[in-house]
Amino acid sequence: MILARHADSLLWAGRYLERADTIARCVSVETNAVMHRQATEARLASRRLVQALGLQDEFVAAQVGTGPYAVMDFLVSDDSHPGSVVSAVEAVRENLRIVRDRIPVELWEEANSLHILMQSAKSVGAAAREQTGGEVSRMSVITARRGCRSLSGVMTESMSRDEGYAFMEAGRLLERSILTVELLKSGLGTGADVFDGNRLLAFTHSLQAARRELGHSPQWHAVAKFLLQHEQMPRSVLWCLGRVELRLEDLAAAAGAVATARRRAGALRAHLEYGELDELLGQPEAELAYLGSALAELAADVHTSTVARSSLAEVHAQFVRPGDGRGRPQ
Amino acid sequence: MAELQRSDADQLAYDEAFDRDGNVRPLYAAIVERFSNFDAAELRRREGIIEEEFRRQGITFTVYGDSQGTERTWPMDLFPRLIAATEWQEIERGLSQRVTALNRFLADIYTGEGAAMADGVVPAWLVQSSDGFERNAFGVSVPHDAHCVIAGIDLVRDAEGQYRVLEDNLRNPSGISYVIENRAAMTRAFPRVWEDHTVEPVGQYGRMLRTALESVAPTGAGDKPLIVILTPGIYNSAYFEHAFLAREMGVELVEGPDLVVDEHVVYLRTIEGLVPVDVIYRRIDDTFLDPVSFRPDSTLGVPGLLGAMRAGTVTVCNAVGNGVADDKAIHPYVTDLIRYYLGEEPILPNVETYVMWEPDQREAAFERLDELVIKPVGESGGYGIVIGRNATDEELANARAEIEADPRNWVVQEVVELSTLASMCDDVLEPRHLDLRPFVITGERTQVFPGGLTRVAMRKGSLIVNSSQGGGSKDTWVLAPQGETQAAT
Amino acid sequence: MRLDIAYRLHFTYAERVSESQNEIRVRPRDDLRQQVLSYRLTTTPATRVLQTRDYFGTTVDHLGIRGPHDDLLVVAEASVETSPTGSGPAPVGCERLGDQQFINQHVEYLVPSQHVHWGALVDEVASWAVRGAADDVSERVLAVAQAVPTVLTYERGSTSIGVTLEELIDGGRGVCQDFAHLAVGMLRCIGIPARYVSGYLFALDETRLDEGPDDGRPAAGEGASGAGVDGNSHGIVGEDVFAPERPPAASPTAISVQTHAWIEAAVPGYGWHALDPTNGGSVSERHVVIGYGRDYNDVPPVRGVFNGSADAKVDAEVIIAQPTAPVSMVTEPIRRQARVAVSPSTDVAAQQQAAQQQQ
Repeated sequence: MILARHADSLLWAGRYLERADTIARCVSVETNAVMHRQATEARLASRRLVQALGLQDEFVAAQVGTGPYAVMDFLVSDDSHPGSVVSAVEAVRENLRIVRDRIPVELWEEANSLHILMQSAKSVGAAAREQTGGEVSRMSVITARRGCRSLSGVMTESMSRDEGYAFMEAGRLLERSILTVELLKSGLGTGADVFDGNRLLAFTHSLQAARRELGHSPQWHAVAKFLLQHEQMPRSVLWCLGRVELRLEDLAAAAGAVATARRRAGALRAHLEYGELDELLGQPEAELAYLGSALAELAADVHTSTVARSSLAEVHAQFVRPGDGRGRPQ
Repeated sequence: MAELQRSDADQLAYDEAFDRDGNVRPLYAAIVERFSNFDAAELRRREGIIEEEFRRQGITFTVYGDSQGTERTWPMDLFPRLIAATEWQEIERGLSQRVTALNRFLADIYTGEGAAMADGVVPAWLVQSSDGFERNAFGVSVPHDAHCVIAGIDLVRDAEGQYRVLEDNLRNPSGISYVIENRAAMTRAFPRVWEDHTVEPVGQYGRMLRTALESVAPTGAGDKPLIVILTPGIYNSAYFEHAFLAREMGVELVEGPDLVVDEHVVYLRTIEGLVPVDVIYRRIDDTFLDPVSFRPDSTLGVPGLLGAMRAGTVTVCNAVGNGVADDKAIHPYVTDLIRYYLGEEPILPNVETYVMWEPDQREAAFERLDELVIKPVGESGGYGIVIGRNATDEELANARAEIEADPRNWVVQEVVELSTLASMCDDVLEPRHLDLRPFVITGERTQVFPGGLTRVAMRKGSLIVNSSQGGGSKDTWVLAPQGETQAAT
Repeated sequence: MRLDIAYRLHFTYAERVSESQNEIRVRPRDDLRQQVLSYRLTTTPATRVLQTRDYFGTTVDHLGIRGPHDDLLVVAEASVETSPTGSGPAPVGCERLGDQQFINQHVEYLVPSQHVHWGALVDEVASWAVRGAADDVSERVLAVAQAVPTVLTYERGSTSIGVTLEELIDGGRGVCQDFAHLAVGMLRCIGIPARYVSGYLFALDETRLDEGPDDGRPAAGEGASGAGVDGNSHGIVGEDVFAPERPPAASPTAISVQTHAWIEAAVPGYGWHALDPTNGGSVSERHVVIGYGRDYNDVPPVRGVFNGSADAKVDAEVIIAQPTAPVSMVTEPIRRQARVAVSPSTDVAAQQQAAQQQQ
């Protein structure tokens, strides 16, 4: 048995954990590349990463400085927007705090420790971080990546495979799929800031595995097939969807609530597994847009299955006064 | 080697560890010996271990400055507080007796005939004019009359070392989680101190509380009643404790919107549908419980909950309306209530208190107001208190005028010099004032949890022990009978 | 007097609501002066009603509807037999009010309560009201009850719940509830224990006691006297029934009203003495008591919450009849806009969470 609200918290904890992990990884990949490139070009590419992560508006609003490390700082340590590593870690911690009585103590402690470490980097202040030549944010990235790995480890090794686990795992896999599709979009088109195949694979933690199959200079099309359709690679969207389906099946007792999500996950998996992907990728923008919105709808369905039974609307008072024939607010 | 500062020779208060001549009391001999082997740096190192541990685990409380408050790490002092077995047995009996009588009083008011009022033990008007007197609680009966399942009774020791009851907390007493976490931290920081002592364990609290809550489940709940803890949410100062108790008891931690009432039965909203709830251990105030019957703007409660309680399908603990019995104005009558309901002499005396609505007591108090403590009944957390000996003539005259204008709102107490005990202040262990809050659990019967929360005022001379105002805490050891002999040798 | 009462309460919601929970206090009280012969409460949609009695002895019907619904209809039907009120209290000196035992017995009704707080202004009005009264508690009580209609003009819809006594005096307008609250406040501030009474009044015009239906006088368009009642918004069943040209012999016996409020004051040596400040007069057998309390908040006819869109309407209507004629719901009740709620922001939630006292 799990409270609907708790299921929702775990779903979001999973999503934010994956998000923190992915942003930290992307930033670390970008940082390595920056060191070997001209500053303007590096900044261009960093902007592209901001775009790929869907943070353009936040980036403009944050009035990010012009220093070479400002974009990295924006992605890592800036808690004024929800898309940074520090914000994602905080969201993981807040969501786990809500369910701290039902998760392994170590999971909570890892999340809390990571949060404390990230906060201390944040408290240094943006200007001071820039002065260190990005050193503080670079350390934060290392801390965050290590922290996320250890959180996944505790999650896999010590969480009971109950409904709570199903939601948290589903959250991670859904977020991973969504981000993979978004990152693939940033490899399309021409121009200095378009990410090449290797970069996309590095962003998605698939570089080593893909090199054996795709060689050293894979084209976008091959990378897209690999990241969308690979059957053994736990970073691929197909693989993730298969697992989401399994997790939703684990929720047998809540079958009614998750029925819509299960149907959608199945349909989407079949689309990737049996669809003529080569043909579909002939119009890559359209296909990625379709996948992106289908995944977003699936994530929304899973979320709805947790809140459908909890109180969404507001409670209002109703009164009747004598001699007046009408209710009034108090 | 750190020198433990003896109690000040001229100090009025009773020191827990040293007698008036500066000799260590036998109870504390072994622990004082051990601590004198640590230098300041070593003590600081161990303090760091505790601090880090609390921080990592997120053992915090919230201090409200801005609207949302700041999370602070729980403060624990290194030097433990010890209570001898024989002494504890006396406290235990006294607390058990007191809480039994208070539960009888609450049952008498809300579901009984008001016998104590009819017989003049407590004036009926005093009960009716109490802020904690909850008219909505009328007719809501509680199994075993356990209106107060969890009580926290604040004890202080006077200059003679006599334990006295300062206050009863019968609504939502908090602090039990810190008792257990303090013990864990102590064990980590001083793994070897246990060699000299046999201390009553504190880990059984979750089971004890769960058993008590199960025993007050409504009839028809079945063998395995469903218990939930109702928390206001993560912004509450004691959220850590709510989550801690849920984990220790293995029950769900819920917020108001997780519960729903259907035809006078309370249900839990789960992803599988609605599951009926039998017992709610709530940590929200009475007036927020149900927007239908209480404050209509409450976002924390459960609409229809009072109806379910009246229908007898769910038990809410602590029961509604307990505030009447821990009203500061009722406190002076508790010893008489013990005599009245139990026919026994009270084991634990009150701090001597005078009520201002009785002309004799008021006149007597007015004659020596400069030696007494004047407390407003409606305030908590130390606000509005006038300490006679520190007050100017003008302040005393004002207090007097206020008392005369509204005697119901004031009580006057004898000064109690809270006992002191060595506490880590900067680099030295110096005596600081402390109190003790033991927890009393009532289900089918009343039990006292060994020890309790010792709160200590970290500022020299201060009597304010509240953690929100810079107070600290101490691990509190109740020695097992054989342990005591060991400690004394 | 035998009276049949039908209390009809209709909540309609702009959008479907998922849940509603209510406490209803509309059952007439059983006491020495009135006897309840029958009482029945039904709801649509149907639900299980739990009946309890509160601290003040008022019967409470608890009912909730879970699951989506667009409206909720509650109908309570009661037959009650009332007796004429006896003679009022004999003169009693005001010094008796200072008797400590008397004060202790009535402490709840002497101190401020949620809707009855007073300051200098109420004090002033109260002393003015009793300026010419003799040293007699019952005379002072009557003086207060009679003074209230000179301070307030009856005007439907002029105030809302939560209005303070000061605002009432300043505004000079109110409904029966406000008249009762002001009287209670004035009495308490001159040391006379007073309580608020909720009930039904079998009269065409709650401001004019002498206009019971058997007087055969029309209410609609009456523009009645100094009370300034607007007949058209009055909640009285339409002119078909009360047509002026109708001969007195066929005088109506079924009228549609709202619940009413009046007061009781404690007179030493006598007990609770009932008065109706809305019309400055005494209470008759046409008054049917539901219950009493410190103020409205202790005995509201309906108190509840619903979960859903904020737009809701409440129609509350009482049909009182003398059973010589059949009771009928003659017209559709007037629809009125009700509660417009402010949604609880997360800030409110956070503040409430923080405010929960952990001792």
